[in-house]
Amino acid sequence: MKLTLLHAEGLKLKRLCRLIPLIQGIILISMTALEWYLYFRQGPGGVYAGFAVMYMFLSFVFLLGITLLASIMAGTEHETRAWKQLLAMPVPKGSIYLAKLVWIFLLQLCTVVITVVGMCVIWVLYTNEPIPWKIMILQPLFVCLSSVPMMAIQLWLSTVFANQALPLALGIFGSVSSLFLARSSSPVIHLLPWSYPALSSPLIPGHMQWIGISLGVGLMLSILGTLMFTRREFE
Amino acid sequence: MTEEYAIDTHQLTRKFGQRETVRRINLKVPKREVYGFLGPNGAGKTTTIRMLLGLIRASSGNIRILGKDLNGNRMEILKDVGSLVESPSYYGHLSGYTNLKIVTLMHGMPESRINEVLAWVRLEQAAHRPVKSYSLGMKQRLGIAMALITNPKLLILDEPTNGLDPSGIQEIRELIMRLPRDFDITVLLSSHLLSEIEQVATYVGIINQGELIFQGPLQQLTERSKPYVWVETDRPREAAAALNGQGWDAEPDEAGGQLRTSVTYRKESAEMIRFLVQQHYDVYRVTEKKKTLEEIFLELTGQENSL
Repeated sequence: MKLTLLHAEGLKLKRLCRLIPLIQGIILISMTALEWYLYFRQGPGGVYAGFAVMYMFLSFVFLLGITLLASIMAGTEHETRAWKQLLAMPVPKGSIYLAKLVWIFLLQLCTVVITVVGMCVIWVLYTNEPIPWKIMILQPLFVCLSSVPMMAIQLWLSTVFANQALPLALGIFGSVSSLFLARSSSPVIHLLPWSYPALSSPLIPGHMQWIGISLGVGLMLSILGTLMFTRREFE
Repeated sequence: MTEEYAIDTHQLTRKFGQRETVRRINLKVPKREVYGFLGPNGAGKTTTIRMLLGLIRASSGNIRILGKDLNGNRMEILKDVGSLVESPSYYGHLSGYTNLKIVTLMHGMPESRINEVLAWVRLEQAAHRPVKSYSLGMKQRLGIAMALITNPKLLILDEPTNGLDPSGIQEIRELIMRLPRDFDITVLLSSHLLSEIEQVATYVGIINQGELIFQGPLQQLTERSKPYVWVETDRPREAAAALNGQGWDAEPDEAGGQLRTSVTYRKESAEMIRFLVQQHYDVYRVTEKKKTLEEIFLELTGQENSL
């Protein structure tokens, strides 16, 4: 039953939703390669400096993608007031909400895979150094995992508001501020979900702690969002 | 025990803030009938229907659908209920076929039924076109197909003929009338137009300002549309009194310069007119008028003076 629900939600995805991981991957890879080639090629880090360059774009690209995905997926239902039709089906309201959340996560995993594959191709073409698998895979994967709280927040906002202006504004603001929040010296600001992705790169000391926190907070926010969704009344 | 009602609500009430949109409604929808749920705009039809589907909560009262309490059996009940609430909901970027496929997936039904249902609502030709390119009538028909595809025992249609052209309305009507007979389906059909209901429904419930003001078989409503004979005369009050003196039923309508009588039998009418003429009343005109259901509906809802 759960799988057929995921299948049904998958059928509903607009083409843009399926393209977002690809677009994210292309932006990440091309920005990293360009920035590294122009400014960091001669530096002491050599090709490995590329991962530090990528770090600057990772959280922004992931959070922005999540914001757009949540907004488009909820918008599909708001558009023709399909909630009433959807929720009059014999499927628990909570499962419908969770299915959407799972799809956002799956699509972001696709972004991770596309990014890793693309980076490997460029690496092999450009240098003879062995591929540093660990950081190559873990860096984007950790960002994806630590974005789970943002997925929960954005999906909740996008389902509550039929007008997507506010969810989009908050999401974009959060994506832009992620890096800056992580650089703040105040530990309180680090606790904001937007800073998690920028704190969980393997390049940052103590990142495992932040991944743990992200998953915990993400789970909590998802459950909270689901509960609020099931209790809501639909027009 | 087999229940005789497909929908049975008890003192169903819904408040929005202080205002009671639906007030202590006891809706009884007998099985295998087409129940016309009538009321002017804003009377509480859609609110009631939303409560029946569990989309909004009732403030008080309870709902039994197909013999089960909605509270706690919602999933089980919804498996047997098809619905179309207000405007049809669809995913515009997908084809009609895919829209239906989503419904079958969520109901755990085989895909094979899709083509059959598409044929019922005559959408086979357009099945693989994106729904956003459909006309309003086609979208409405797709909505009905989405409600029917799950093989429901109870079909709840809120204003299903909105936006359909006359031939589309006729088709949907025929389809609805067939359902109880051929498929054992109970239909709850809401509308603000009596003429709409009159032709398909066997049972009628009329809701006005949140209260159910009439509920019963359609005949009971038609019985109220008794014909009357109106006689236009120079002195209606005296003429009516004179007729009453003869044992005839008559009521003057001074303002209209006429009187009304329930005597419609031809022989008796002739005799009555002869009497009036012999008594030297001027008889200008004699007409028989029958109240239309529409007038009764307006009378019941107290809206004959609106607009």
